[in-house]
Parts: sequence; C-alpha cells; structure tokens
Amino acid sequence: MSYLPLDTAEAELIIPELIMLVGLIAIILIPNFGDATFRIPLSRIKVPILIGGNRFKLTSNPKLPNQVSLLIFSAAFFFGLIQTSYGNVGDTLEVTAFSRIFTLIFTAALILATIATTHRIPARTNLKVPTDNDSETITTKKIDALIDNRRQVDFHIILIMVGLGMSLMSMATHLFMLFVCIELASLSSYILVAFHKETKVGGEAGMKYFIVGSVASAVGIYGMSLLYLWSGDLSLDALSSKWMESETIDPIAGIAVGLMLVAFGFKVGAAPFHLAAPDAYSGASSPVAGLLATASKAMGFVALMRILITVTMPDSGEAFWFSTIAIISIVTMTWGNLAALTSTNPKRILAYSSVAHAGYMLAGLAAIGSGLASEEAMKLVLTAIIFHLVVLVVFKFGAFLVLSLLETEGRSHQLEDLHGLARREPLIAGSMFLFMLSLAGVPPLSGFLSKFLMINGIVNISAGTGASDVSSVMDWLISVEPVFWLAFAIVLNSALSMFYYLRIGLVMFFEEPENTKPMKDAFSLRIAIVLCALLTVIIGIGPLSDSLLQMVNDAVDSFISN
Amino acid sequence: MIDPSWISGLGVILFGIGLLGAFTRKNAIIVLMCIEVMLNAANLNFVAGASHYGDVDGWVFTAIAIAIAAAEVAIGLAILLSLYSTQETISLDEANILRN
Repeated sequence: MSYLPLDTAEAELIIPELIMLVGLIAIILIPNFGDATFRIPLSRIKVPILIGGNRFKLTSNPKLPNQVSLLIFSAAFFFGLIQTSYGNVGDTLEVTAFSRIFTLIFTAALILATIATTHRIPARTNLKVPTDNDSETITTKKIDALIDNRRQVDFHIILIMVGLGMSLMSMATHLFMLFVCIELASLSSYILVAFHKETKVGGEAGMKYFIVGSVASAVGIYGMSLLYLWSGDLSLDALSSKWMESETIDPIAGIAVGLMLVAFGFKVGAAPFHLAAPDAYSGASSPVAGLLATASKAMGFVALMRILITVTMPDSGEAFWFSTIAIISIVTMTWGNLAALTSTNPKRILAYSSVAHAGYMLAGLAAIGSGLASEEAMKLVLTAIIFHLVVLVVFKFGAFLVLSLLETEGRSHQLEDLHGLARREPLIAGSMFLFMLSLAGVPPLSGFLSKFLMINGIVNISAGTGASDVSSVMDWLISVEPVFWLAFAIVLNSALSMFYYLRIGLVMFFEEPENTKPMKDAFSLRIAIVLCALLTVIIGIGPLSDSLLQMVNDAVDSFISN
Repeated sequence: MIDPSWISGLGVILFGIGLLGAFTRKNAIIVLMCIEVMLNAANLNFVAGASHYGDVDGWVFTAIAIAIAAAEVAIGLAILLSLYSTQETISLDEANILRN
C-alpha cells in the first residue's frame, strides 16, 4: 500500500498543477533564504538553518519572484502542451483534452499577466531609503518604490494560487470540488483587484468586486446544497444520471440549478450580474483586469458547460434553461455594447466589450439547449465557444497589455491617453488597432473566425426551421425558430460594437498627442504585445488555426463523451 | 432525532434573511454578515442531506464550506480596511469614485 496520495501514473497526468503547487511553496520559501544559524544548546556548534537572518544576495533580489513565477507558468504551459495521456486522478479529478486546453488558456493568460506585472509593479535593486533632506515628492516616490519591492512576492503568490485553482477546476468531475477550486481562484482574484490598496480606486474596486462576487458565490453554494438534498451525491455522473431518470423536473432541482447559474453568471460577466465588472476592471491594474477578462471568464464558462450541458441537458427536446439563457445572452450583449458606446475610459470600454463577448458565447450555449441541435451542430457550437475563449487570451489580453504599457506612465483611464499613440509608438498603436479589429470580428483576424464559427453553428441549428411556402421575408422570419434570432442578435451587436472599437483606433491615429516622447522602454512587454498581435493574425488564417481548431475539436469530443 | 426537513427549512429562512439583507443594507460589514448567514444556510442543507442519506460526504462539505467562509471573511475585512483607510467610509453608497 502506498502512503503517497498519488501514484506515479496519476502524478504524470497533473504535472502542470504539481509544478504550480511546488512553485507556490518555492516562491514562499526562496525569498526567505538567508544565513541564519541555530546554536545547539549548551555547546558552541552552530548549524545553518537557511531560513531567516541576513538574506543572500540572490534571494533578496526583488526581481526574483517575478522571474520564478514566469518560469513556473512557462513550465506549466509547456508540460500542458506536450501532454498526451489522459485519465482519472483520484475520485474527483479527470484529465481530458477538454481540461488540458483550459489549463493552457489559464497558464497562457497568467504568463502574459506576469510579463505585464514586471513593468506595472516594477522591482528595482539598490533603492535608497528617504532621508530628512528629501522633498515631499521625492519621499513619496522613494516610498512607493520600496512598497513595490516589498509586494513582489505577495502578488506572485496570489497569481500562482489563481492558476492552481483555475487549472484544477477545469478537471473537476465533482460539483463540490469544482466549487472549492472556483473559490480558491476567485478569493485570490478579489485580492488582486484590491492589490493597490494605497490608491483610492484600489480599495473601492476590490470592495465592489468582493461584495458582488461573494454574494453570488453564497447563492451558488446554497443552490449546490439544494442539489445535494435532492440527489444525495454531487459527482457530475450521479447528478446527470439522476437528472435523466426523473421524468419531470423536480422544483428543488430546478431552483438549485437556477441559483448556481447566478454564481457562474457572475464569473462570466452575464447581465444583470455584470455591474461590478467595469468598476473592478477600471480600479484594478491592467494585467489583473486582463486576467479577469480572459481566464476568469473561461473558468465561468467551464462551470456553466459542466452544469448546463453535462448535468441538465436532456437527451431530446428543449432544455428547461433554454429561454432563460437565450434572453440573458441577448440582454448581456446588447447592454454591454450600449454601455461601451457611452463610456470614455478605455478600461471600461474593454470591460463592457468583454461583457458583450460573454453574451455571444452564452448565445451559443442557449442554441445548444434549444433541443434542435444535432450532435454535429452541438459540436460545432461548442468548438466555437472554446475557440473563442482561446483566442480571447490573445487579443483581449493583448489590448490590456497595451493599457499596461500606458499605465507605466500613470495613465490609461481616459480616452485622451490613447490620443496620437500612432505618432508616439507606431508599432504599439498598430497592434492595438489589430486587437480592436479582432475584437470587433473583422476578417481575416482570429476574432472573425471564432465569431463566424459561432454564427455558422447557430444558423446550422436553426436551418430548415422556417416555413418553406411563405410569400415574403417577413413571414419567413416569423415562422423561423427563436434560435435563429440569436444569430441575428450577434450580427446586429457586432455591427454596433464596431463604433467603439473603431473610435479607439480613430483617436490613436488621428488625434494630436499631448506629448510626443516615446514611452517607457518596457522591452518584454513590447515583445509580448507584438507576439499577441502576430498570433491574432496567424490564428485567423493559416496552418496554426487548423491545428488549434483540431485541438479544440478533440477537447469538445472528450467533453461530450463523458 | 430532528427530521432533516426542519433543518433545511431553517436553512431556507436563513437564506432568505441573508439575501434580503445583502440587497438592502448599505453597510459593507453587515452585508458581509449576511453573506455568512447565507453560507450557513447552505451548511444546514448539507448537514440535513448528510443525516437524511446517511452520507459522510455532507459532513465533509460542511467543514470545507466553513473554511471557505472563514477565508472569505478574512479577505473581505482586509479589503474593507484598505477601503476605510483611503476613503474613510465603508458604505456601499458613499464609495463611488469609480464612475465612467
């Protein structure tokens, strides 16, 4: 009998998560290594214990945590990428192609967040303590720099916890495990949002995000407890077979699923639970906002897919949540786009645009629940949703990286800060314009491909539902199934969203900049931005999009088969 | 032994109180307390289910849910503290510099 909780075969399956776990311990320990010694009582022998004392030169370097966490996430990403074996880990985790692709999404987003943090919360060696002779501004500057150094480790510990929670949740096959992992990730993200606690906005953004988030998760956990009362077992398999057995939907189970939708709806930023999102995004630093817009959203969609498709999807006929999700999706995308039109803060615009994107993906989920979807069409829509979540990391996070670059000089809260960016930084402005076009879904960029797949799938589902013997277009539109209107709403909303995406492009190219000096030399951040811009184009056309689509297809197959 | 339906009935009442409080109160600390009440309602449901089905899982869920609630309060109070030190208010209405 083995006393280790994992045998080797299982440990091999979860190498990326083990790397993050070991890295979490390492990043706590490493900065504390020093030359402390322990004197054995009643003797003069001193034994070095390494923890504490004067820290070694290497371990006291404030840049170290950032490099360690970049290494951890890169290693996790790499091992996730090369993994080919799948299987169960214990009773509550299962590694599949589905969970693997989400691990890749999360770690990729975290790599970008770490790179952006290098310049957003800069670490400097050889800092000076303020003296009495310094003026007030110099004193504050020096203290700020010292604070930034102090909190390097804190930030990266929490970042790794987010990664660990998200990555584990994507492979959970037990509803309670799923919830605990979501809580790990979201409790950490509350801290990240409120991380700049000396600024006025930091605390407020954190408070708003925390209150709304924890009310939502309390409602969700209550829903889960009702589900437990109903079935007595919370593993997804047991729940799904119990759901199949019952001929009519038990009101308790229906309410329970509805309450859980509240919790997961908050995570993806669906209306009407999205109200805290713009505040949180604009109060948090840009790398964190990017993380919320990509990784946190992907996490919410994993949970939604698990509860809506794995558990409550009937074999045939309309799922009971179809009309609810359909209405929520249309309200979400319209509300997000209209609010983005009226906003003048680039971070809020991006926040609302990510609300709108959640609406597009929810429309896909609703179409699956319409009961009209064949297996083929369902796969098509699921592929579109997951593909969209993958490419969001590239162009949504890319846009937040550009804002991070602006933030290094203390700005990014007004549209004016983007004025004339093309004259100051042609390459960065060009990349930002690409991201905006991709968000709007302009061909041949990757945002177009995902949106095209989605609309294609939804139209496929509703194809042939309109009456064939009609005299006018109006009659046909009335006779067609409501699913068709979801595709219609996506197209209309995409057109609406062009206005604010293009407005950002417009001010970058045609307005006069306040100053024409080039921005701070943040080398790795610039590399990351250009890389994201390249990927935005390459994933849209070319062989890489095919292999990525193939990966997503495998993920969908493994998701449907269990 | 108390019938499990009474336990979960108490849970429903607590959940209602918590939800109502979370939506109507403006003081962030009281909202935090309401969230705790809601989590405890969920715990009561888990306990009721565990005793109804004779299942150990329910007790484990309860213990873990209590731990999550404790972590949530710790983080929540820390965030409220940082809000108070910069804006000198913990009212959900008065903290509103984040607009547009």
